[in-house]
Amino acid sequence: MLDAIKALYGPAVAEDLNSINDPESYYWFKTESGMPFGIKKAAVSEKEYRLLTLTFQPLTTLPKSLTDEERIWHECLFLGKKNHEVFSDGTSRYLLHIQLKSTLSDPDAFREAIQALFDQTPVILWKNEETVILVLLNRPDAILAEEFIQILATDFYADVRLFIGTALNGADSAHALYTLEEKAFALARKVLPEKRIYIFEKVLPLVMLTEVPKEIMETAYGSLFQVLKDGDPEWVKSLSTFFEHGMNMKQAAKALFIHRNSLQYRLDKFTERTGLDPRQFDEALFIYLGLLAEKLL
Amino acid sequence: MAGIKLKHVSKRYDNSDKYAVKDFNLDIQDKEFIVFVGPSGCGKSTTLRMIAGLEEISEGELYIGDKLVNDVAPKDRDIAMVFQNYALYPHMNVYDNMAFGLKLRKFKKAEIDKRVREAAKILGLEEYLNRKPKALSGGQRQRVALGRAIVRDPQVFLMDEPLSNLDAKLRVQMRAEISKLHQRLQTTTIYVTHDQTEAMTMATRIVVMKDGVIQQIGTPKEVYDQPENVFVGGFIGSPAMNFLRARLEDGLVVIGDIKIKVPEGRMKTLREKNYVGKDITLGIRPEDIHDEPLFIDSSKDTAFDAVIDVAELMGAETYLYSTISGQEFIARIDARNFVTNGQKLRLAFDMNKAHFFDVETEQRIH
Repeated sequence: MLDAIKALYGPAVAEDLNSINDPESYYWFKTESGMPFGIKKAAVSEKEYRLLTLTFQPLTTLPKSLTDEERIWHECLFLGKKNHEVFSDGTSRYLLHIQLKSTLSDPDAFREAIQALFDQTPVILWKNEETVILVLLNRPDAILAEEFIQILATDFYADVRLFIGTALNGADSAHALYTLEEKAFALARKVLPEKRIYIFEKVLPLVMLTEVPKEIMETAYGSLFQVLKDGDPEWVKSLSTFFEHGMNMKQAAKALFIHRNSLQYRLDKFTERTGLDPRQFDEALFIYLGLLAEKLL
Repeated sequence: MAGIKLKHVSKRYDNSDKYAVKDFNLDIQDKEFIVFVGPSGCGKSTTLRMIAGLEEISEGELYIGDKLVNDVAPKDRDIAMVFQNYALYPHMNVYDNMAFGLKLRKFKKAEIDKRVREAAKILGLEEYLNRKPKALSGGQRQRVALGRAIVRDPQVFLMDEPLSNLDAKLRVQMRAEISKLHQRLQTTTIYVTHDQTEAMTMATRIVVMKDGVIQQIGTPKEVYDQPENVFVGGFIGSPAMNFLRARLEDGLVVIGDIKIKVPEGRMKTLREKNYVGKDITLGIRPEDIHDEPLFIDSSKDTAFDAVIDVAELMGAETYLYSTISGQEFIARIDARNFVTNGQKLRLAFDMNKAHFFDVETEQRIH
């Protein structure tokens, strides 16, 4: 549909709301998939505008002009322009990807909230009405991310998912890393929908597994999948929790609300049945990847 | 103010065939203080988030007041939330933190000021209004978080583990403050915790959950005195209820080679339900195991000898760790009765307060 609009209106169509200097001179809509686009008001008659509003949903909030810093980051991350200026101070940056379930009613208040939350005001980039990227000087930890989610729930009644990215060290790789993180975030939301915070290092194995042919995964993990299916129903939860807590028996048992000895017993039984000891790093890695693979298949 | 009704509410995530919450039914009365309690992953926070509108309801109906709100946006449900991590803006002072939500809702300045000052007065925060959260103690920060909810004057408060970040002493203090606040404001409150003590001390009714399923709904006393199953019996109460595998004979429970008499009133039910000659799980709370000579004299046929492995003096009471026919149990006795590790002691069960559970289903035998 958007192609037809472009064919009709030609250069009067803007697909990237952040690359426009005078967004107020455009009518803004979003496609069915939520991607925004604008058409120059001067190119649209009143009748055409009415027709367009019947076909596309108008954007509830008009895009704002970008600051210079936002424009540079926008070009660097979204358009792949290698602008080395953004890393001229030699400091790494981190991306916090925010996926909103619905449009925020007040983006200005959102900006105010962000400024009041972080020590150094991050660069705020709106990919579309439901996707925001923050460029941060310090990597947010899971506690700050959780607090951020709670603030958005408390004040904006917004349900969000967050993805904490890895270090961006230069303009050469920034666009590629951003694209990889975006892909990882989308995959994680699909495969692990019950989680609200995703971290690059934890999600990356999942992305890598998508590159492995299904047959190889089934051959390698067939017997483990069978054991997990037939064995103690608590094994999957116990193993996942054990790995999530850095293979720390005490913390994992606490999170599972069982006694440490009970967890020890469960893991022993699992080892007895499979010959795999989740307390050994290489075997733990094998099991961990197997648990992820099972979610993909 | 409003009541809340959940009818056959379930939650299942898109790619999963497993229920995070299954067939949740609850009728919350206006002004009630309901506590959802259970271990991590039991579905209590997911249920709260469904009520808030932050999670979609996969099946079932949710009513706030008389209104079906399944498809009502969270901001239009007239609720306010309080979380574990305070959810405060570090770079705003207390006043602005409390005012921010109202500002977002386009309240007039004078109204915002009135509400913030009123809430600050209720919470004893008047002298801290110009401070940033960093300059406050954990308890004061949690009060600000409560203040952010109070200023909205909502129909319902939803609180998700609000005291979990506080140390033990402060938690006890804040628990009382939240209860007092509820008495004063009379706002319907749903409170999520994994801490059974919070549930017991604050709730008008408790909802015990496990694996996404309600295990029992009742007043704290009902849940404590008449747990519906082994899970509830073990989860509510500290130290936890003792569970002993026993065989039921007519008039007796047999634990290894020790025979304990069952009162006729209790025996009648067990006989009617055909448990005689079968294995059962006997539940006995630590405080229902006695060492006082007077009790043992009057209850000789429930008494037995035990060797105390460890005696833990807790102040007013002592926890005794021992075994009966190889099965471990804990007794809670008066600390005035001095007991040492390794001591032999005569103990007796108060079988009028004992609980009987089916071995297979783990359900209470009524």
